[in-house]
Amino acid sequence: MTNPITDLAKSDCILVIGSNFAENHPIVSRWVFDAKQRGATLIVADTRFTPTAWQADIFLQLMPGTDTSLLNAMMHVILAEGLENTAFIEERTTGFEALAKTVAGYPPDQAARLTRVPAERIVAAARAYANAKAASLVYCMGVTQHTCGTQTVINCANLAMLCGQIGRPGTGVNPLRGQDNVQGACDMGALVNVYPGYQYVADPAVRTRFAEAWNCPEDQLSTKIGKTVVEMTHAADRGEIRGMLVMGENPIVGDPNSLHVRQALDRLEFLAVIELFMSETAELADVILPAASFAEKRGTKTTTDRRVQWLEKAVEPVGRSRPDWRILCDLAGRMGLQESFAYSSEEDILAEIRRVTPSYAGLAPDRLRSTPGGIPWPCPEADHPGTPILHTHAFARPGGRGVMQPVEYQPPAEETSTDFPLVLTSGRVVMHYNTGAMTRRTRALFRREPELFLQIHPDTAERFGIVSGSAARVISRRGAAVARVRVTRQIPTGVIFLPFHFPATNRLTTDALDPTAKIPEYKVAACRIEPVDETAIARDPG
Amino acid sequence: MTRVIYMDLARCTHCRACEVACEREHAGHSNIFVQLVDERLSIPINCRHCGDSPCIHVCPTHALHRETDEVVTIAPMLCIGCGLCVLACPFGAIWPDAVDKVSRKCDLCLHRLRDGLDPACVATCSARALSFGEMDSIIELSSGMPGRTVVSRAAGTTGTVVHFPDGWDHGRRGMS
Repeated sequence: MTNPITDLAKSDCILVIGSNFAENHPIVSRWVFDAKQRGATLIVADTRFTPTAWQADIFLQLMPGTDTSLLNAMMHVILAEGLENTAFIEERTTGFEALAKTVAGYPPDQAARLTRVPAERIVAAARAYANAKAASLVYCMGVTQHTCGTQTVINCANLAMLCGQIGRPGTGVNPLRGQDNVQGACDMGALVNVYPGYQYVADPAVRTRFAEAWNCPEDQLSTKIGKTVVEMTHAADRGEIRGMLVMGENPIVGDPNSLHVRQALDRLEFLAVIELFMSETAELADVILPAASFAEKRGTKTTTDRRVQWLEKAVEPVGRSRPDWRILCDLAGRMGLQESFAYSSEEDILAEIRRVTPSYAGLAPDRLRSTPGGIPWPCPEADHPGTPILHTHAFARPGGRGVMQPVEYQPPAEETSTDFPLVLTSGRVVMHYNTGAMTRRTRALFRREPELFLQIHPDTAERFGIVSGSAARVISRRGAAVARVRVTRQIPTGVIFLPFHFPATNRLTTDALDPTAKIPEYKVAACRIEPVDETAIARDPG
Repeated sequence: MTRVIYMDLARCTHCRACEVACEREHAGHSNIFVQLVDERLSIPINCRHCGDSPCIHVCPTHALHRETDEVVTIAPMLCIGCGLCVLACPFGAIWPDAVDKVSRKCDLCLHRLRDGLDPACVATCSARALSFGEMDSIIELSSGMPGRTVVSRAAGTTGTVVHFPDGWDHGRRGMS
């Protein structure tokens, strides 16, 4: 996030696109409601009328995958009505002409046909966002989990720059990260193309720096960009990857086209899994290494708004489970890398992080321990206060100007057909976390959401002979899933929703990838639906 | 000074974290329930701890009693599970437990109050739909916001303070 979560309370308009924070980031609602109480306008763009959308002043119910058209149409309105921030565009950005030319082709009445959002609502949303003194844009996986995900994120930034809604309190482009330390994992270079601090692996100067920091020969550090999760599965299926170490992931449930994932993992010569529980993926493993849970670990975590926090463990690890870093150090030791992995404490690791990650350099353990709530990076020096708001005076690129890059609408990888006439979109519910490895084992949560369900509009249900409360089978080009039917007007006609916390959902989803970020298109798959008798649920329990 | 629960219905998102927290504090039984209305509103329902409580009046064994100025509780060993309190409660905030043959209701987390902590449902509420505090100051705060403030109770002087925001009806909060 460019701004702190608490900053949302200072917004006069909050545009939420592809985020159901009321269910998936419940804590965020606290500051959104504070803003609303001050009179802020809440705009929610989502395919479903989610508990987040309930709170909206302007609800934009768009078809899955049409976010770019919606954003372009909003920018069309802003330019047509002269609501853009000319001073910001001139002083802080480049690329305005190209963007203006592109969005000219997206008048709201035309976008209304594709997105199914009434044109007057697009106009109202555009005016509210552009006219607000401080407007915040919040997005999440509803925009990213598409083959056009990267492009849509760029378009979110375009809108913010066009209106100068960035770099001040209550503004910003704010992606809500999914897990409590996924921001930290990315910062640490747990990505295919960067070292810690987003330093590019293919840059020879960066390699030299890390070879020095890690005291190893340069040629031990690869300059090749690695494979992302779904690419690894594909490579395993082709026999190019023969061994795999999975930690904190449950790809059999969480990855798209999961029957294919199972087939690919079955082909591995060796699979090791570091896990808390016997997850569906752990069941396939040759070796399972028991990991400590969040409450049994100490060290830093980085929140979605870049705050680095020091946490102490609450309880000792259960049984023979251990913190992941100790498991990794021991594995490295068995590979003869004892000296490179000679950490004796979490403090040792943080010391190295500070040496190699410029944005973390000022984050000494004592300082973090005495700052409840943490310090937001960049924090380059020991006396630097941290940076709650990014891009206040310049953007982090050569010349300091933000680049507006026009984005054209691009249809999803898989379109509906006669055999697969419905759009399947997947997502989350409040009771479960990711693949359910923890929450399906938590009685209070599981009891409230005990089986795979699907949402379907009454008209669509009637067309296919589906009755609320009964069982139905959803079939895509890749697999089938049986789920309990919930007929609801929260979802538009022609669309079916399935939460992915249960194993069957991702049998259906497509592993078509965004060409840049390589994120799969979880949000759009073509499917059909048929009624099945009750026993099918027992035979294929989610 | 009487402290009460405050419910701001503008802020409830049906996340049900209060139910789960209550269950944790009360041996697997939740004494708060979030009612979903027409898939677009939700209302947490729990004991109002009415000043003059119908449940206490109808209880034949005096299991239901006023434990403190703020809290009405059930003495489980005295409860015979007759269910009269379930019928008498105007809020539907007392539930029969068919297994243990007793009635169950919110005790305002008396054990936590004694430790100086807020009730678990309040402490857990991410959206701050629930809060806990002194009745008069809550009423004053709530009355300053657009909408209606109601002291929800059967009779007497204590109860739960509920805020109904402006537009808190189906017409204004619709999908179309």
